[in-house]
Amino acid sequence: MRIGGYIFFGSDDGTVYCLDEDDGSRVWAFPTGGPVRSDVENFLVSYIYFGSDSGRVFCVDTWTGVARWSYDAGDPVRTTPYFSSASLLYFADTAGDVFCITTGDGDVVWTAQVPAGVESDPYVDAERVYFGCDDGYVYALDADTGADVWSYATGGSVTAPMLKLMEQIIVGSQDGFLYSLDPEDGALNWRYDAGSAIRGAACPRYGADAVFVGTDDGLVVCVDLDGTLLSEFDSGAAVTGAPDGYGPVYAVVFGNHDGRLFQVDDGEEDWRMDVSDSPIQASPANYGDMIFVGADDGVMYRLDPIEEE
Amino acid sequence: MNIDQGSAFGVDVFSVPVARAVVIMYYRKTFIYAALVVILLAGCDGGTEPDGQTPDPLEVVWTYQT
Repeated sequence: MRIGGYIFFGSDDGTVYCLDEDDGSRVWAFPTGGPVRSDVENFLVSYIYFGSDSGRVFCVDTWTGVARWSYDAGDPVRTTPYFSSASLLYFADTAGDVFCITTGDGDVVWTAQVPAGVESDPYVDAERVYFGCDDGYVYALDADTGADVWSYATGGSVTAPMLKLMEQIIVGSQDGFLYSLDPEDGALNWRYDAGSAIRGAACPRYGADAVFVGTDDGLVVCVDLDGTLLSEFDSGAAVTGAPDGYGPVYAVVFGNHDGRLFQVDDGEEDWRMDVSDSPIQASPANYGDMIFVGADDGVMYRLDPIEEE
Repeated sequence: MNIDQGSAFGVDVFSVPVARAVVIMYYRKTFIYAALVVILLAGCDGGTEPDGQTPDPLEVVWTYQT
């Protein structure tokens, strides 16, 4: 998360950090009591939200790092809280509890339960909240009440974040397929066999006519919204974070478990760089003129493209 | 040798054999310099560096150890 010249991210050391993007100096650090696998979400700039393996979801002042409130879910919260225009926050925990709370003070609006843990970031539209589950299902609940709307069974755990694109719910499963479901009833539009587990989010291509997704076999595939393969690139090691594009280009940046960062355009490698001796599991944040990426050794990097003269 | 009568690098230009030798030496240096410039440019145009390594496409601006 990048806001006004600062970046915000969580770490396995149990802390959420705010750094000055210019020089990497620490502005504040907020201890959560457990590893932070959730991304940081922002609401109206003033506050950021994140979950922790401590079982709590926090609302913290963006500029001071002081907690406004926290909510005890009881079990690790690894999903990134999703805020809706109705000032509501949606998230789930690893015990299968799903929550809708208010952004203002963390009051519970409703709770629901699914049969297994949830690590898939939810997507919320005007009617439903969509998320994947460790039991292999994709669930849709009523956004106002938490009531079941539909579910769809895949062949493996669904831990990847959800994406809604052009009236399709798109998500990868650890069964190796990328699925497109109808948001109204969960009917299968298409599925694409990527060959190995998908753990990261699908990234829309510029123009929203296709998506990129990484696989455990190290592939990054680009699939159009009919489920047809457009391009494929083999990075040589697992790609578990989501590729990230920026601006009106088809190129995307992603990291792999060899600690390398790549930029690929239409299946062709633009460049690669050895960044770390440790795996890069996280998604890079690509802003075109600067890229932020964290590695498993606990180091956050700011990398700027070198302009050719 | 009379420098005042016009000379190139102190050599009497009217002495043709000597002048030809000097001109060849002069251009040989030029060719060597030009070759060095080409090698340097090859290392800066996105190709491989003189040691065979591909230059990094990104600059590490900073790192932060959590």
